[in-house]
Amino acid sequence: MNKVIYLLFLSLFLSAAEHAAAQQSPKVVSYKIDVKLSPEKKTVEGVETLTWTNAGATPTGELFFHLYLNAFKNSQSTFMLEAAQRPDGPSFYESVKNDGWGYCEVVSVVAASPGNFKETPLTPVYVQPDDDNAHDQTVMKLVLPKSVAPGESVVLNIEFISKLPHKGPRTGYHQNYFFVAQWLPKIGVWMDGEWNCHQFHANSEFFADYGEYDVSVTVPMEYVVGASGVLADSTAGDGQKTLRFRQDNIHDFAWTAWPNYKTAVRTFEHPDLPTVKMRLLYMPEHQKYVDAFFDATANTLKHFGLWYVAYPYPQITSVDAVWRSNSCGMEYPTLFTTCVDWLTPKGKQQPLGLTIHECGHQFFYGLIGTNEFENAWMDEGFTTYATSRCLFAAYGEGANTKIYLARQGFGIPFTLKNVPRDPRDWIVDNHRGRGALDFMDRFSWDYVNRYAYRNNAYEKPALMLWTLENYLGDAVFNKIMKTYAERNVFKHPKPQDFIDIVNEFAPQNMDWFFEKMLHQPGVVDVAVTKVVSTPAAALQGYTGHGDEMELIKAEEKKKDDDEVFESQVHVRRLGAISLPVELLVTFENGETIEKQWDGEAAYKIFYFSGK
Amino acid sequence: MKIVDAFRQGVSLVDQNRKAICVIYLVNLCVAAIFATPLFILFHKQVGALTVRDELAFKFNYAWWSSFSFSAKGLEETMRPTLSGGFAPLFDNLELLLSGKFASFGWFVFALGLGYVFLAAFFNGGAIALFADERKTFTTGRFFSNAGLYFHHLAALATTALVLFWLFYKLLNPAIFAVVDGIVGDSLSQPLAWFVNLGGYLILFVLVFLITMIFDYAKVIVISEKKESSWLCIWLAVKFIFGNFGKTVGLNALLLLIGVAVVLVSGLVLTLLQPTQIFLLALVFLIQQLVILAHIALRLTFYASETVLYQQQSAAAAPVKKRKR
Repeated sequence: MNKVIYLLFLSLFLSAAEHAAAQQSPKVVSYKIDVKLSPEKKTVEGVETLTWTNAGATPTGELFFHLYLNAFKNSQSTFMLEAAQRPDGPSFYESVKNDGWGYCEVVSVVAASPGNFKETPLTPVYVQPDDDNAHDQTVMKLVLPKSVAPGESVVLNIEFISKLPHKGPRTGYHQNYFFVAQWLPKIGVWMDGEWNCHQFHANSEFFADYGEYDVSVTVPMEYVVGASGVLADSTAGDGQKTLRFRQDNIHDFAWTAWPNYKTAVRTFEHPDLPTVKMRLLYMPEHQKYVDAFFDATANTLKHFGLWYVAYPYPQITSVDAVWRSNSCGMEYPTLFTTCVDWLTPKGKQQPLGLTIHECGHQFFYGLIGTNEFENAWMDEGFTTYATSRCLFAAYGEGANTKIYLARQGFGIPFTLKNVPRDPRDWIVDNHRGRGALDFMDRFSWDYVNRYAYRNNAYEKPALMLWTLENYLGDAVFNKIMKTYAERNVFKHPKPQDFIDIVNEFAPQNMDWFFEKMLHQPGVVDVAVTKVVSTPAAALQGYTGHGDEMELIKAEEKKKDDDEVFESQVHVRRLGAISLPVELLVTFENGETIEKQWDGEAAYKIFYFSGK
Repeated sequence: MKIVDAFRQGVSLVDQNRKAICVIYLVNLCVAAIFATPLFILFHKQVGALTVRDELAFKFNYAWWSSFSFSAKGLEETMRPTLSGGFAPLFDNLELLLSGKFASFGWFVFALGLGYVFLAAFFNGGAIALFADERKTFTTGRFFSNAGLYFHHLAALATTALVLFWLFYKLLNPAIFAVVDGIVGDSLSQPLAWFVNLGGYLILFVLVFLITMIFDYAKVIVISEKKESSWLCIWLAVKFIFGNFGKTVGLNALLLLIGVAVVLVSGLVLTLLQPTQIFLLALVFLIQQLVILAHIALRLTFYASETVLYQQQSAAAAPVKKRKR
């Protein structure tokens, strides 16, 4: 009995944060990796031992792996073909040509399944589940000697060489700087009886299962290294050092190495949240931004932690990515990249905004593991919404800024202090021009172009959430977001999971809202196009009927005090998407009238009459 | 002749011809009114009955502008947040000058700008002729008569200058920045790139300064010497500038510094003076008009000082005639 009471008390005193920290992900994967960086050859070579457990409901005799770096293997990969259509495609070709290409070459694979089959060499086969492009080698299939049943595990020893691309997007090298991401043969997600393992596309990010990463990296002694997880061990010798990083409950692992990094460490503390060690790797020329980097990270851990779910890991590493490296602005579990211009206008709220956004992905991507291939809006959109909310809560409005004569790292920063800017303004600006390009609920590479992807992954969903918050009210919406976060930690929620929670808390069924927002292209835009207020016209013509019918030629003008005005307010729907609208009309005498409009028709005229 | 003397005499000449400033100001005001009226009507139609109207009178509203600018065409495109700042218009103009992106507000606005160049050429002719004339005093008749008399020369010079600047932005600008990019290379250091680019822009600025000076002196020479060929005057201007390099460049640098000082002071005043009431709004408007007047006076001082310097240096360099016995 005493024990029960003790447990009860323990449970009461455990904060929500500690509950989240104590929560464990299903350990579908366990990676033990040992690799060595060759700065001269721009390669990472080593061995990966992967233990994969079938967490699905059906057996499988095949394993699918992502070899993301093969996107940069040649000009005909799906990624490169799609990238060529992007505005930044040609410049990307410039950086990879002359041996700037990258690849992930699987040298050998040996598989074993305890109690099922013994060590067996396997032959990788490249497959293209999305587009049948034979030149694309970003997905590898392994056929097992025997199927792996639900709950059973298979252990794979994979020897691989990863050549990093020159200034590749999100990953690669730039002189002696290395950002190593999407670098290992990484198993796909076995769900709903099939492998969810898409090819690497120009407009898509990633998706993987949770588990444990134990990664040892060997680099030349002078290199400063940052990585996902926590440093568990380090050894040195022969001009090299080996650093071992470990972390449970994550679904990806990235690391970086550069001799010139400066580092700083601070601690995030909050009475209602777990303590987190914040480690920053930054460019020496960005010393003046160190406080801002830390402050933005701390504010993210605080606000996202209180609003949604506590950050459960002991450490977070933020990397101020090297200028022009193309690795800035990216999220990985327990590590994210941010950056800032050497000179930046004060009112621009940088590096605050970007740091909050990327750190915010620790929650909407890291902890809530949505499928970035198929539902990009669920991580980017949610994070964009929460970023603007956090930015406003922590720093208030910014100011309008401009970089004059901007080119190639140059620019004269200028802040228009008298023109304040809401952190949401850029979202509205971009959405206005791109909203009609496509609809939201598509695979990220299916969008018509890069702008449609940006709009439907970032801007429109963020505005959708702001609209929903305004429509349902703060209290209800905050409850929805918190519940959604708490229920989906270390899970792979789909759009319907979020919609179900909205419907659970909203006073009415909101399917109509999501139907419009997810499946209709266009913007929500309503304008007051005309306001007219004139003295009421004098009555003329016949009145009454029968014998009492009377012809009135013109009424006498009434005294000013009694004069009646007739007013019209013309409201026009400019955007393709209709949503209910509230109209507040203020009259010269101070009287106000509130009107509702369902917003369905192209326009509506509201009529008012009064003195 | 000393630079300071040329400047003093230039100021004195402008002072004697204050009415020219007024005439040019009034013309500017009329031209501005012609284009401001449709803008006013448009704004009134858009926001006249909305609550944002009162806020807009005193403060730039970004959310409103974002919506407005999305469908803005022609002159409407020139409405932008930087207009509301004290210093931002200065940087706007500097950026246009160095980048040459004059069509960034659309071709309609670009065409208006071109029209203004020729209108300025007309009035410049009148002003320079006043300064070059021995009488050196203003009469409206003489001013407009000279403006008409020399218009074809000044228009020809303006056209040549436009072609030259077009080549400058099309060829020289990219060439300079190709060199800049070559120096920066694959460097990881943004400060290095920043300073090398700054060097590139400074070279561009010096070249713009020199080209402008050459065409200023070409205008002065074509009127002072009553030459028939405008293009010959460009060559004569080059010869004169490089023959008197220290004095010509020194004088224009001094005038430029005064111009920068005027802009900085006015920018500071306008930045500090954020109108919250209607009378402050009126005060800001008045200050802006004074700034425009100062700009016109300064431009005329450029021409007057350059004319004085040219005439004095030419006279000093002319061979002395032998006295007849």
